[in-house]
Amino acid sequence: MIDLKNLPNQERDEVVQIFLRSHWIKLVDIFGLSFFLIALPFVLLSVGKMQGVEVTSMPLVGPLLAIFLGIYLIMITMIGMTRFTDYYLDTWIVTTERIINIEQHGLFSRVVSELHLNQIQDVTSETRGVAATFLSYGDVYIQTAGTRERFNFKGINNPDEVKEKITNLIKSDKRRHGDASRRNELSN
Amino acid sequence: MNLPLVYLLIPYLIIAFFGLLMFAFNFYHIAKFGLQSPKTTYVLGLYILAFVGVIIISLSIISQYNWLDNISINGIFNIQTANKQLFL
Repeated sequence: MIDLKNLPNQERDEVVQIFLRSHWIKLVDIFGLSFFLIALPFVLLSVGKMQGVEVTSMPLVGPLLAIFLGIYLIMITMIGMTRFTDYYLDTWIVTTERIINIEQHGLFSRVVSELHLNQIQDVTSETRGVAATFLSYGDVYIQTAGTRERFNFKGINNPDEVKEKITNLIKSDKRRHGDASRRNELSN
Repeated sequence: MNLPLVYLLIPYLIIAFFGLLMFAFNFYHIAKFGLQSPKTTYVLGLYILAFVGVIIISLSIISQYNWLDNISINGIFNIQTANKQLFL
């Protein structure tokens, strides 16, 4: 398990400042779709019953339908569970020294990358769409001077606030350690 | 030729086993890579409840039928008797 007080390779004075996960709207999508798909066959069966079509009492169709329904329920629950695991394990940790980006892709792929704050050149926040504007969620992009892939905090809560916090942390880190992003730029 | 209805349970058992594996993988990932907090413990509890719940519900749906019955294969392919066997 990840212990925020005892991160891997943690420096002596390093303190966790921000712990992020995607906005709760993603949970609405995961749970909403799962509940809808689970309820759908029961609603259809009830409508059929009200119309006088009792498919469940037919000799072969009834058992076949029961098997199909059993398999369907297990599959929907497992897909929902896997999507939730993906959501729950996609996290971003910002400390006084670095940013740790943990991305879970399905069940068998996990990417953990980290970036020292003094290597960061640019932080951008983006809120796009009506729902994102009203519920205040969006993306934050972290860009370094080098050719390294930029970090993307996808669909997080209050992206502007997070951007401000990270910018302040970068400023104080660069005061302590110097600006490595400028050094990289000059050497390139 | 008669086919025991119980054979239809084989695909269900295969999927239920596959579901058990998926549950175990999900549980393991949360337990190993999740944040050390009470929230993670609740999530693990919810996973157990969801898996046990869905198995109980699916078993209760399946147990409404007598799986020791036989179904005539010839009857299904005979148009005249098919309607009787499938729908009546």
